[in-house]
Amino acid sequence: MGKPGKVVAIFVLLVALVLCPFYLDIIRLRLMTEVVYYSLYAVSLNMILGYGGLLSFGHSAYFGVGAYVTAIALLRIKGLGLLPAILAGGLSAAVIGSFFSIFLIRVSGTYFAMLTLAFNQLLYAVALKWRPVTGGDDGLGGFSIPDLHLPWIGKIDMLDTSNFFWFTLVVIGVMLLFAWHITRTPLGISILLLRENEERAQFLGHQTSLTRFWLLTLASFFAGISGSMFALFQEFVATSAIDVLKSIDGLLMVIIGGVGNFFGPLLGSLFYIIVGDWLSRVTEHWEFFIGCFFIVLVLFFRGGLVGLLAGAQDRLLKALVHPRGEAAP
Amino acid sequence: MTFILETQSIFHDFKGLEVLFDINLGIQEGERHAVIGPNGAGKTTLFNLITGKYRPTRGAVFLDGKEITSRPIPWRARNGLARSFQITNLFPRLTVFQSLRTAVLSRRGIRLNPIVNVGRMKDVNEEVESLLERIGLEDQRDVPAGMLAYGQQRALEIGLTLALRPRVMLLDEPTAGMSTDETREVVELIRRVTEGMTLVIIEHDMEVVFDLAERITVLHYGRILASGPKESIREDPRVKEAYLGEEDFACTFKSTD
Repeated sequence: MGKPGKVVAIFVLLVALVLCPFYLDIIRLRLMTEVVYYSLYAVSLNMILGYGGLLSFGHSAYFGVGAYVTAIALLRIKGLGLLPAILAGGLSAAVIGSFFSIFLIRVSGTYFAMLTLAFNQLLYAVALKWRPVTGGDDGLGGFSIPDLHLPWIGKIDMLDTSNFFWFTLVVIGVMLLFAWHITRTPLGISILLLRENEERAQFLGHQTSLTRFWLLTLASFFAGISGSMFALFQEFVATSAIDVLKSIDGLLMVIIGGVGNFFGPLLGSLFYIIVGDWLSRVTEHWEFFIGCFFIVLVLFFRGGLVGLLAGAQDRLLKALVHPRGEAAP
Repeated sequence: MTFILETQSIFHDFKGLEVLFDINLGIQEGERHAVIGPNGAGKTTLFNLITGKYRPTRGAVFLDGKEITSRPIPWRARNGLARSFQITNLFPRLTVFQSLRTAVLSRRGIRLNPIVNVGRMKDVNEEVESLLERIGLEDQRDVPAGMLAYGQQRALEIGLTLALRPRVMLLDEPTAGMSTDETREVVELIRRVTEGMTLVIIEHDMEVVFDLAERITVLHYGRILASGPKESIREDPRVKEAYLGEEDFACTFKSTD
């Protein structure tokens, strides 16, 4: 598929996405909303894993901080606007992320993975024990989603499922565009060097610890925004938003979709949420089947779903160019 | 006499295993200097101490009269020390163009900019194109570094150091593992692209050494055996004594006459 083909394909997909509220019932529309905000979570983890080459087992720390801060802010600050509540979630996650990265820039490989896991557990413990603020294992509920006030258009009711879907689409879309743009800037290229050959990058003058710092800070900001949308959508936050299982969810989305490819995590979150939901209706052992699928993918299709699609597309193109049965001259 | 690069009585040991003793080396601006010596003489360790991969156990390193002994690697790279590696050390999944661009961006101090699309940085991209031309890899511009032929990878190594426009260029065995023809090509490339630059080169091949360098330092079991203009090194009795047993070495000395 050439460049025009790609543009058309993306446009069609976007239109299909925007029109979701017109052809999906409420349950499926809510599922699509989840797909959209989890896609940012997966993309932000892919920045660390796929672009930076660093394995993080604790990405839900930032997702959780975003979710909790938005919930707490809405509960405690009367008249807080919708966008400031989301921004507060993202920024708090970024602050926590940059603080942790002071330690995380010093370690690599297994040590990096273990340290991210430890930080995740630390924040989980805080969420569980700091009852007066986080509600402990009862979680936090009872906050209401403020209406969105837009110039010229006026007030938009966020309790309406379709409105909230479109709102999520816009917020996450803007963030994804920002993340996509970063991959094409000098910072994005410096991040790739972490994965490719960190020491060689230093010999070219790159202060790779600084690159790591910005990578981790940005990724936690995006994860925080995603968590913030999660809190608004669920209208409830509990420790499940910040536990290690949520981190594993992210890793599964990224690896199923395709590590190191920008679009991989988007497909990954779509697959993981939709298929996970469908399987969980069919069987209570749905995680077992996702696990089996994951193993097959890792063993035989390293490129994930994106790799599979690219392969299928190649074969399709070849079949179109050289249809079978065509007589040789 | 002022040196652009100088080491003052450097000693180094790896957990008790002493590899360098009292290394005093001075490189003047514009000088072309070769460091030779048998395997295990400590040549690459010396490079690692100069470029910051290791800190010497004792002694000091100076760049342009300023002490840099404990400066980190990136600082030294930004301040004019660029090196290549004996064992190919590239960014396997980045294309030749992308690899060179990252070096050019780094030299220009554009490393963490999250705003500007690199595709739009006209100066940078033009500079990369001209680098591609200088190292003769125009046809490989979109090939990932890991997929290049060995000789092309060596050329890219040189291109990366060249992109930093260093004050001192340190090449660690640029012809390692190459055939005679390939060696000739790379030597030609080095001569062409490093003209007028300060060059320190580690090399085994005596033909290459006498071709590229004016001054030679001979390292032997971690000590400087001799250092000086190449003619005097050739005649130096200590060097002869250390090497004359080796037929090949004696032959290559003669063949360049």
